[in-house]
Amino acid sequence: MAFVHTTLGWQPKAGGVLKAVGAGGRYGALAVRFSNALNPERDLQLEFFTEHSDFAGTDNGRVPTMFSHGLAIGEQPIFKRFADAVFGDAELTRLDNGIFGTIRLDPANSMESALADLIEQGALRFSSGSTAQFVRRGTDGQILRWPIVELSVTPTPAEWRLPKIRRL
Amino acid sequence: MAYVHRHFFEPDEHKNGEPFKSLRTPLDIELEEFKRAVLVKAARYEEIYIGDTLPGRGYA
Repeated sequence: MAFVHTTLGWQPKAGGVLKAVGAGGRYGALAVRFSNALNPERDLQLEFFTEHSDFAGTDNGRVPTMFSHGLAIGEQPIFKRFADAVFGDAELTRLDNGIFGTIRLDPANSMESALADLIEQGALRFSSGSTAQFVRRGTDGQILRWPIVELSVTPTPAEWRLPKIRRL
Repeated sequence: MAYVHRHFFEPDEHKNGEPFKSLRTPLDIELEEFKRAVLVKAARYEEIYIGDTLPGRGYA
């Protein structure tokens, strides 16, 4: 914050902001990638989605955003804090080749701003999360049913072909 | 001794070669640690699965 010296002494510069804020805004990327069932490209868990995977309507909806599916990536308290956090809803939109995710990160929120900073450095991708009682898989690894219950931003998604999240 | 304001506040200023510690809160320091760890993970992931490193970044 800039200060200027006036007849009243040192004062905040007119029009200046009182608190610095970090990165933030609207970000998006492909969050689910459809593969071809006849020639599937499997992810790191040897599974794949197709256009016939059943998302139970969540492929055009809103779900909470998390960091790495709520798994702490380190021992220190800050990692647990991110693991425990649930951020604002992500918007999911079905496309021909997959599902596009859009999130908004508040620059005035220090944790969201840290995620936005990481996104702008090209470090995060999306990964969708479902729950065991909903999910159905075929014997070949095809995901038959996957209602999305949360969308995570993560440096290590199972589907490595997904693009990095970018500012929209 | 008269005290003279040379200037009031310069975020990038260093005093005796050390940054002003008061500019960074404990949470700021934790967030920087978090971001460093994520950047390292992202870089390793890209090296292993994509065969690339994040452009222009040194994470080692």
